[in-house]
Amino acid sequence: VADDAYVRDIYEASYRRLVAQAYAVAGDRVEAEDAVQEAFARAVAAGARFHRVDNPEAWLRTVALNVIRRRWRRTRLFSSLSPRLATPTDVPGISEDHVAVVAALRGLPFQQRETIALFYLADMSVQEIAATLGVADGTVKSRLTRGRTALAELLQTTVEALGG
Amino acid sequence: VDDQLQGLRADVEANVDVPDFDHVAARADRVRRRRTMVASAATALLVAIVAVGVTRSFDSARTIQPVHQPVPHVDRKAARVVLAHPGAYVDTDASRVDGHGDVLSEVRFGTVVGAHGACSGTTRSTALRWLGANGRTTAWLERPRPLLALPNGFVVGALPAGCRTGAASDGRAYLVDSSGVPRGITWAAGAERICGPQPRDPRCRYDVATRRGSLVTETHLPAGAVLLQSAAEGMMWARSGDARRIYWSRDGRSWRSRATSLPAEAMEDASAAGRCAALAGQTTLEYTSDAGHTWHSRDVSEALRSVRHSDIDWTVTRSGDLLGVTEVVGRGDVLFRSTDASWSHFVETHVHTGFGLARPAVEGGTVYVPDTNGFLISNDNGVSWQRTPPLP
Repeated sequence: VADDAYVRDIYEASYRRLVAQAYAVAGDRVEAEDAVQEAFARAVAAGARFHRVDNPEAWLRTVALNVIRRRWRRTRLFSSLSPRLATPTDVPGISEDHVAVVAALRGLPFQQRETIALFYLADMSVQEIAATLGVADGTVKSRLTRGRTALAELLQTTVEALGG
Repeated sequence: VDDQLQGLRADVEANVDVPDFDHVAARADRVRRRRTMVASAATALLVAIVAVGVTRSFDSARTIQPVHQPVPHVDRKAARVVLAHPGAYVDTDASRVDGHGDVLSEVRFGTVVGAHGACSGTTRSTALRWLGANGRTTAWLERPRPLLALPNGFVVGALPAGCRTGAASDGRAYLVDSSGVPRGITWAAGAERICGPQPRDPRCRYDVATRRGSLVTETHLPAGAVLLQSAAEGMMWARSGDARRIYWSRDGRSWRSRATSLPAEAMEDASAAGRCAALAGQTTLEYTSDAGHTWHSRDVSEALRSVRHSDIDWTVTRSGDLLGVTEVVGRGDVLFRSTDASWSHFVETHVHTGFGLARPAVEGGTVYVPDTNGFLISNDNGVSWQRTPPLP
């Protein structure tokens, strides 16, 4: 019960922040919330081991990202055989501009989207992202540059489409 | 962009409701029992929508005229401009590898196509690059289209209806043969309307040698099933939404099935290639190597003692070898493979990518995983791997 209380405090403080980050990576509110809840469930299941984690929120973020990546790993294979028919879900209540941002993020390759989400929504440095993803600093910078450029073009296209 | 991304975070945080923690605690009980959740709301939603979509497409009306398509015009000069662009990259989600190990890559720069079907902003920023297993390459300008890998070539589908500019070629699918040459398709009656825009429809059949496409209208998937292997490999495999039942069929009309006897907590997924298939738990698998005639159960936990593993994603190859992807703490994703037919020993491979390992895909005798700007390909069931060459 004590373990649960410890995780519950972190849950109350971090849930929304982690969902925002996962939402940018997954591009889908349901999938993002599912991944974050899975991370907290694993934290509860880890019991005392979770107490020894230096940065609980970073641990939870890593688990949630792994859940999303693993799901991507599976659905990627599946989508190569079947047409994409699913409609992603957005967070109700957010502005149309931000719905457009998430729609544009969905258009980026997974690794670019993941890098941009960690940089902008998790406030992580290039070095921290490189360590988290297991890639070189230069790779992170390249993904950020390329992703940001593509995102700007996608957002421009969206604005033009809305403007008729 | 920077401001909008920063604003997105604040907006999402302000609009997300925090569910009752008791739900998380209950979920943790299940994690304690199994360590991993098998199903998720998002996956279930995806499976349900695809199942409905496939069922609906089966009810579509047929056209009746056979159609001979002209040889597609290709612009190789403009493709070289795309490939040489400093911002060019390979979209591995859209690219495909065929059963010979040939690769058809979608290369693009600048504006990208949305993952859910939005059109490209320009018509000259994407190209298809064919890479033969023999090292030969060719490329041509092409807008993003649905691609299908075959045992010996590819189908390039018609442009989505909303993305066409009015040119007749926009609405035509075509084949790419085993030499990387685009070829027109001669469609059997009623096939083009279904298979042109959706070449991956399970009712569609292709013969690269005769350049023909046809529609087997009686083909259907069992209700709620997810396709694991298309008919191009000689038989079809599918799994139920919860992966506890696997289906197989030679003609796509009559199906046989087998439900696993593994406990629900142990179940992970199903995998199939050629005549081999497996219902996979973490360390226990039920498998067939003779197209479902006989099934065996095998516990590989002892064989995996040399592999430090967490959750494992299993892939069975056409020759019956077993590949697993797992995450090792501190080292990221690791791919290991069986070294004998009885799966009594596994060894790690040296396959590493820039962003973690996707579960290997199998097409004919080829096994591959996506990497940044290309693929890692094995034609010997995971023993040796070749990285596709970089863009010029």
